[in-house]
Amino acid sequence: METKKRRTLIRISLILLIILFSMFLYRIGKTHTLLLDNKAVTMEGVSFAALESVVVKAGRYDPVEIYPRERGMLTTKGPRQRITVEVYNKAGELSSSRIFRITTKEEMILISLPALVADHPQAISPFTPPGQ
Amino acid sequence: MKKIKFTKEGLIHFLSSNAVPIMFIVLSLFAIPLSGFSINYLVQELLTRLGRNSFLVLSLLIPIIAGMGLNFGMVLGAMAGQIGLLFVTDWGVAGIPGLSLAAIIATPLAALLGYLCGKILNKAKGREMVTGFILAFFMDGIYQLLVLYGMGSVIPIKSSGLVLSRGYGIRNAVNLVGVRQSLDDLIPLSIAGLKIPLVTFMVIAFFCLFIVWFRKTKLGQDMRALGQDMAVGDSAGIPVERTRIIAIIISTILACYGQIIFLQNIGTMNTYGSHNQTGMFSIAALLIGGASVSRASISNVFLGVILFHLMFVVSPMAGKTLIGSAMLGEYFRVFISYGIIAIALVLHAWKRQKERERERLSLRLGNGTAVKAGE
Amino acid sequence: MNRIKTFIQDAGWPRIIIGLFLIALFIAAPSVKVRVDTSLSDTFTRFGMNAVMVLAMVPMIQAGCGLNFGLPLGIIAGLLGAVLTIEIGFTGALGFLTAIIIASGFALIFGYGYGVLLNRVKGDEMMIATYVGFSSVAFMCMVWLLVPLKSPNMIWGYGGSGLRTTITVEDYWLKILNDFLAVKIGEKFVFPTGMFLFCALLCLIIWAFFKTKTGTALTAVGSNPDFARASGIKINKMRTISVVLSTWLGAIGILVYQQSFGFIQLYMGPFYMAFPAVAAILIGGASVNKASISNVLIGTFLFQGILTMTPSVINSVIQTDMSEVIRIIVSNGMIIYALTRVVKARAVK
Repeated sequence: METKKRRTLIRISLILLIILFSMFLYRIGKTHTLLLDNKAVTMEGVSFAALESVVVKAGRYDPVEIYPRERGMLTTKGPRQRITVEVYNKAGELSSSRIFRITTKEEMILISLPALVADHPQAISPFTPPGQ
Repeated sequence: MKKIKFTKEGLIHFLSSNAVPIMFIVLSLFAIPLSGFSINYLVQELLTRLGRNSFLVLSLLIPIIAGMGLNFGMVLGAMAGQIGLLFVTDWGVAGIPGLSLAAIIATPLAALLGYLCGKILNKAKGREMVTGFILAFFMDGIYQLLVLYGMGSVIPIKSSGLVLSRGYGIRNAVNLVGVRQSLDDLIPLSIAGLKIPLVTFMVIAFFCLFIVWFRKTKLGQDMRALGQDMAVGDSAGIPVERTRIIAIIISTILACYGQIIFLQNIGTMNTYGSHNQTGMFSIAALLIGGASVSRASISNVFLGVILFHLMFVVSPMAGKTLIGSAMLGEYFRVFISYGIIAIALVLHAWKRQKERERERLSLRLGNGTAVKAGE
Repeated sequence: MNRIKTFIQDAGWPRIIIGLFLIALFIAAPSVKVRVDTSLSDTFTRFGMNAVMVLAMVPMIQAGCGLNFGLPLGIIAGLLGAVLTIEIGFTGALGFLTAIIIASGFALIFGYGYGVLLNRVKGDEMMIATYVGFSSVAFMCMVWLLVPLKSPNMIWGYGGSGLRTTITVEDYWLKILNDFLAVKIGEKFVFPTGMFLFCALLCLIIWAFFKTKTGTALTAVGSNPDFARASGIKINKMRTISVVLSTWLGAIGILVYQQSFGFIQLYMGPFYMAFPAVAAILIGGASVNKASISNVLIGTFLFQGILTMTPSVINSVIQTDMSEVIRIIVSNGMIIYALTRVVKARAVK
């Protein structure tokens, strides 16, 4: 009965491998929605004003421009995403351009751009759309 | 390749055994100029459709080799693939990981469905095709039970965008936004302004190699033996029932993958219709390529896909130019699709019956009496 | 106990389950506010509408030509009869009769050709029948579009060419059979006596046919072809006769259906019409090579009963419309059961 046991063992481990592989696929393939807010917020008593004009670029996707009091959206694939946040001042010149690494497991996350640019730790938070 | 004898006999033989594709080529030669499409457009369409459909048609080969006729049960595989894609779209997994995950989820389902199909077909030996045909309809009912009633209610679906407004049941058209074109565009290739889905073709080529290799394996040889003569295969010790079931299982799983490839190209899934169309079109294409119920090769597949889809693209416009109604062209296309299957089936059955009668005749006249092979 | 056992074996479990299910539906109906009298009335009407097309299955099954999936061919003959009669303009009983005559003419021609074809493909009849049926419907789609008929009841508005998809028979022979001698009980129950009489007449004709010499020869061809050949019966001739008969009944069947339904359905309408008829006769107890009139009656009643009752009852219970799906599962499941049973029967012999 040794061969039978071995065969069952191999089959079970193969199945486990496939399950692990599937979980891996799920992780790297899952799309995430990044909601980009350019609104004035107050966090932990610190207020941030809305940025005059900001453009967010991420990987292969088209750049998203977000005006004050607006919310933009990016749908990305995979757990990690590098975004470049370019802030323009009133005169239309680039005042800062920073790269952020966003790592997330959530379906949807909310990024407050003013807070992010100011490096506030709570700039990114998970988001649940109402009604679900 | 057999040498084509340029004698009158050889020509007649060639024409009669390849009647269907030849008819089609002639028809196309008329219809193409009528339709007014440019050669460029047609070539691009054909390239896309080759990438989209070849895998599905290839999946039909193995059951034919095993003597089980046209596998209408491929629809079951298509259903499994669609269910996989539904889940993947619901969970929001995109791109190649999405496709692979869909395939992984769908495979056990396709295998199970193939097993059931094989078992039922075994109980209806001699009527495999009708049974498979009806089984596809039956499973469509079960599929609808699952997808139109089960999903969203008993089976949790996260994205409300997929669900009908009444709260459960998947919508009629699902936008496969995540996986759309992911296989095709994996390595984008463009030659002379024609977009070529390179990776898809590579997958298809790999599959062709697989089929060639498979025919040489023991299992493949067993199936070929059964395809030639079930009784002889049985007495040679081949496990008839089991081998036939395996043939169907393989075909169903391959149809499942084929449907996933098909849908990723189109990008939208017609939840309640795609799988039915798939069966019809793939079988028509294979028959148009010159295959018969008992004999099919890889060249039949590609020739068939090209001819069938050429006709498909060209008929509506040709009908419009010829008679002034595109509707007529569309009906013509439907008529040809069904008619071609009818003709192919008739030709095959006619030949078979003639052979049987000839055998009986030769038995009656006694051994050693040669019967003139004039057909 | 034994008698019950034999009954179950003969009837087969699926049939019994369906029968019990139907009875359960009728019992449950009042409690879900579904009127039994309307349901019975509907069931009887649908029975009459479909019975003739189910009857059309019998000749070919008995002659060993398998289940007539090519019924659409006969239906097309019927449609041609109806459409041409409307073009001529006859109404009422005269119209209906004319339709029958014209349809019969077409049915004879179609049936003969179809029969000759089936004789060349013995053994694969069912598959080929299906696709012959499909192709002819598709072909007729083109014909309906091009045919130079002019009756304003039939062609597209704006003076276009080609016939409409659905044509009403309201001014022509709507319910001509149904209302003949109809029995009305209370407000909601109408028994379509005329239609039933017509169906009974056809059943009688067929039953009588099978008692004749030709009829018995036909049955012999189906049940024991070698014996038939040895007795000098021309197999091909018998098979062709069965196909012609089947096609003719299909033509009459669609006319009966139309006069009750109220509409002539062209284009893709007839496409799937063979399947309910096939399922019905199989539910009634027929097999792939043996069918009787009682199979027709029982099967049509059970099948149409399920189709009528399920939507109303189950929808009221679960608040959903599952009727379409249930219809698909039941009818196709029945056909598969019959197709896979053949082997067992042969083995028993």
